[in-house]
Amino acid sequence: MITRSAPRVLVLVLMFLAACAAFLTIAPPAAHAADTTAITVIVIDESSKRVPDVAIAVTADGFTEQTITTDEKGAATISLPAGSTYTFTADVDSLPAGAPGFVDNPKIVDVQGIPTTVRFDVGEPQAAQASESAGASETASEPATVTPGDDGSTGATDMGTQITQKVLSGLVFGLILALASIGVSLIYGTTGLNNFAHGEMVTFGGFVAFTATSSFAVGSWAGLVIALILGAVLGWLQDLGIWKPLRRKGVGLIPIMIVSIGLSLLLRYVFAFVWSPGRYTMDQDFSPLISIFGVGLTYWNVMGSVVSIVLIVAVAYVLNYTQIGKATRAVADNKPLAAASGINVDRVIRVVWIGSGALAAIAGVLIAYYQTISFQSGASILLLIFAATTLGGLGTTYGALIGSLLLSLIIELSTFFIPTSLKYVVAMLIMILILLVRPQGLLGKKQRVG
Amino acid sequence: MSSDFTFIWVAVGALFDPITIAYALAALGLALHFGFTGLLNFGQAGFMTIGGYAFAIGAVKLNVGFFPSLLMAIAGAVLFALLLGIPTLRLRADYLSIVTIGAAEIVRLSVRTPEARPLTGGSDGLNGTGASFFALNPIPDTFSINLGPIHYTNDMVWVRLVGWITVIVAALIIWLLVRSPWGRVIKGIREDEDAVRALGKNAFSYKMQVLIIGGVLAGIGVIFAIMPSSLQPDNYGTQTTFFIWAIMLLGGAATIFGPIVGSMIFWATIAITEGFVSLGVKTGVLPITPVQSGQIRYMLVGLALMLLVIFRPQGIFGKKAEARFNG
Repeated sequence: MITRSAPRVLVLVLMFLAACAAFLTIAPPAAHAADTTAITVIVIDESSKRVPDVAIAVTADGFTEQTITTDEKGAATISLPAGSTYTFTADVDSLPAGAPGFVDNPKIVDVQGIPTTVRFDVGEPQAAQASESAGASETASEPATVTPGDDGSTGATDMGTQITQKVLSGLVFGLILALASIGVSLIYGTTGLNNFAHGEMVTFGGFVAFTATSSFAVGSWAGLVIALILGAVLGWLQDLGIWKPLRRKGVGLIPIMIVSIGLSLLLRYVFAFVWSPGRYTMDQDFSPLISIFGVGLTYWNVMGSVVSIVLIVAVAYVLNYTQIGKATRAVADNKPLAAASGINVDRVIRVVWIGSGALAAIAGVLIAYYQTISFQSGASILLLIFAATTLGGLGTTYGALIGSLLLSLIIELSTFFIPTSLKYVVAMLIMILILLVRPQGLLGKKQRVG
Repeated sequence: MSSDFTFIWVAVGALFDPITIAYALAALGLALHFGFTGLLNFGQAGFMTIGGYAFAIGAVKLNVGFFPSLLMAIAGAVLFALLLGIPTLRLRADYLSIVTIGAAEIVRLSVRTPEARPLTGGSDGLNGTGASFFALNPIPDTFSINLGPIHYTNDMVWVRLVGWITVIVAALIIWLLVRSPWGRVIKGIREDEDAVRALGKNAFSYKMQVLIIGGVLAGIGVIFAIMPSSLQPDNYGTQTTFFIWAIMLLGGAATIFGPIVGSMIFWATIAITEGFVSLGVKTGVLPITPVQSGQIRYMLVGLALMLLVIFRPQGIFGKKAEARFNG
């Protein structure tokens, strides 16, 4: 048995690597060694609008000072020799009259051959902050919609707007999170596997869309569709090459889970290898498309939510009204019984992997628009996905949806009381708390879990 | 031999480096958790963070000297094990994995937050934690060892000496523990927890003791890694836990020497691989950039983790019969 499935796993892993190596040729030119690195500076004001005509001085040891000015999109680009640490100082006097200054200014950036975005936020200046090392920092960047600098004491924006802003951010992000969580929940429900490599399927989608739109100049919607297709293919290949042979071999769930951890680490750094460990911004319009209670939502905030809702409704329809959906629920409920009733369990699981891969990839694209995309994007939300599915009830599809929305809202609103850097801690605490009092989650069936 | 091959000496040095000591102790603790008891602890990096920060705060911020700082690290790890264990040890194994990985991230995000900067140094971490330890060094300043191109000062010898003695003592204690009646109970929990409970044993209490002992090993081990260099919160993310898992599975999960030798093999292999890769980059044999070559070690660890579990779950030294993961 071992010898039979061994080559398939190896072949698949090699296929992954080869496919990703093939991407090398089409990855953005920045992934190759470069003497100079393009650094994009963006300036965003308190209502999430880009600010034009801001002068930013760039200095470093042994580097002649240069000044760049943001264009009408609030962005400015400069090519800098890699390997030095640069100081970006935004000129407060070049801001429109009445602006309070910059939240964090100057910014110190370590340029290491990776295209990076330096972001200045207009707001009440904070005490001198620590340097920010590009490529080394792991924390997820703030979403493009959220107004920063809410230390609660200044009262610069009124409370109502702030609450609306956070609720909206929470809903937009919660819907994206739900796409990924539903996949995790379906996989857990049908196979019993806690898929630790799910975050990488999310990252994959984001990078596919980024490469498609930036290197191939396809439209953003075409990029979304390409990501959906390739995400589905990745899900299918994973099941075919790794999970199905392991199930056949009768490997226990815990070893399979450890395999998914290994795969997660492998894929994550394959992404870092191919796309280099930078943080990429999708080309998009940051001007508000619609305004809800005075809070502007960008085109992709709105469209991301629409896409998520459509997909979630589609999943619900498939699960409730189609033959494969009913079969999926049967497998999740009782696998031996489903098999005995003539349901092809392997086919159901394959469809679940394909669907989950597609949903995760879309989540990745939307996250890329919502924040940025880096090789850690998926890994950094993996624990949120687990927290959301645990909250809603592992293995329950609607639980995953409700858990994601609830969790996202709670962590957004928690920033009223705790520092923003600790908002993921809230998510983890909620997860541990729910396991303490109701381990089956909000919608889970009562069953023995210990 | 040209100077391009100095990495071979680096690899030899890596066999005994402080980081190898830290991971050997953490992997030994994890072997007690997972290999002997079947606990799916994915928060071993959290125990390292807690131990490291408790020690560093004692040594640098409170200036209480080496031994009180060490006690703080142990106390921190015990406390973390209790906090982690009480809500989760009654739950199914896979829930424990999610909670431990989440708890480790809570710890890391909390110590690196700017608000904690006065105590923890924020994302910059803490430096100079080894001063009181090196003050205890009886080896004279004039003493040094040259290993090929590598030069060890008296302090570098001192930290390695004490570190490896700690590893040997810890291995001895764990060896005595697992072959005692206590050890038979925890192995029984691994094989069939209900059967152990039916025999009147308090499985929860045994699992808690295991979590504490294994966690304390990680909390002590990390001290050797941070004393000669520095304590950086981002060195203890989830990938650190996965490294420890790879090390433990490489050597053998239900063994004593497996995790220790596994750590030596692991770090030496990484040094050799990175040496060859950077040589290949320098000579143009490998068409990749230096940034890309830094990712290769992680890719290899991920691949190794997958292949080990699939093809040799008992590791190098383990017995096949003891590698039947339950679940």
